[in-house]
Amino acid sequence: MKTMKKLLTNRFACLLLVLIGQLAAAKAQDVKGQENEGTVESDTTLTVGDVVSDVIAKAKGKGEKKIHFINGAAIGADFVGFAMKALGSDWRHMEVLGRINILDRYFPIAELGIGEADHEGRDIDNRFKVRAPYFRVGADYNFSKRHNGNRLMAGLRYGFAKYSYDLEAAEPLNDPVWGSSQPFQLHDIDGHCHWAEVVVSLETRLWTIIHIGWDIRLKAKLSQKHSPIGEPWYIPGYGKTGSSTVWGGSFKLLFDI
Amino acid sequence: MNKGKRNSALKRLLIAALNISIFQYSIFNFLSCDNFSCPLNNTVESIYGFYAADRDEAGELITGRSVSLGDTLTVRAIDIDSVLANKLVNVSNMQLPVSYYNEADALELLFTDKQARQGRDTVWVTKRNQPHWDDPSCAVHVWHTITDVQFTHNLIDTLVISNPEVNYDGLENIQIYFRTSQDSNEDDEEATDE
Repeated sequence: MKTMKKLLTNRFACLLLVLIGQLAAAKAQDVKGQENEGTVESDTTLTVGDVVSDVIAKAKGKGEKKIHFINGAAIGADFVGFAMKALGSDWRHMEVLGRINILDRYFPIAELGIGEADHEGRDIDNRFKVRAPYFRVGADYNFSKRHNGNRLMAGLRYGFAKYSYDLEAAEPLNDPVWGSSQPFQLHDIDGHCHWAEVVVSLETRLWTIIHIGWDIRLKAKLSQKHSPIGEPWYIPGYGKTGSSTVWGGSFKLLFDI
Repeated sequence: MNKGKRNSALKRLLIAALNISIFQYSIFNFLSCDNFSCPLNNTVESIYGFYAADRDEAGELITGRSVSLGDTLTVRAIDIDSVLANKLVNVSNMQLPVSYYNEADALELLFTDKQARQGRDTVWVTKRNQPHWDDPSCAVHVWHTITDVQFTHNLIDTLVISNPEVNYDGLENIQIYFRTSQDSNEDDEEATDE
């Protein structure tokens, strides 16, 4: 119980740090913009107080530009999967996304990716392999009052993946009493999974049409079909299995179109 | 000067993005760490319970009266001539291994009473075999689904499949109903009549 509390405390501390960091980055960018316009003269040393003041100022809606009903669209890609591949993770994904900007408030979104895993057991030579596409659809809501490209958003996703996975053991499976043995090599075991995600994301405008952002997601399975042989170790788009919910996230580069 | 400021701002942004991505990757790994542990109770054995074959006036079997064996019971796998359970006494159930790949296991049950008199029954358990795994870091086991049982009737009255799934859950799979002394007396009377 103590370990669990400590774990949760650590998680919230990490999230808080990242939130403050992201807001500080957004503040720095705003200050830079205002300096360029000659409206503010200040140094760029930031405090938490500055960040809070900035959030309040944003809430007052200063400096808004005209917002259309269909206010644009964007395409992008997630780079967490590439980072995981580069760092030698035994599961990773490649993902692209497209979204529509409605009133700079609502963002219907579709995400399409390929997830793969090639994982061996820790002390035993069992191997799990899968590679399959997945998709998610959903929407985000932008909480930021100011329409300057910096957004704090929350949203929901529905995800689906249909996959075939392989299970292999290096050694044959021996019957210790009857003495017979057979190889354990099972291929193309079919399964599918439906899941839901709650997403919290932050994003900032890097250049005119380029945004960077990241999100954290809590995922929960809605339904799953798998072989009686056993549950897959990893489900493309969902993540590692083994518990009823998993955490995930993405680091995105987006282009307004 | 402006160019210098722009470069400086760009550097800050890139460093911030890099920091955030590395930090985030660390968080994801931390949050999704491999927390699966292999089941501690991973013995796959079929569990047989012993019961008395009581019958009502209509001759229907009354289920559920558990009994302990007064005789000594030894169980042998016929095809490999190997003892699976040796000289069980005063037990109300037994656990037996199941073959990984046979379609059916043939078991000989040898009963020996205190006067060294012996009685035998044979049980054939037909099943489907299913490899099962929990995680790549855990050993693979074979689970079974019992589809049919056949038996001789020397001391055994009836066999009932109470739970066909043989896995880790430790539930009783087969109920063995032994003939009671009442049945034996009736048989003796029938034999005497004959």
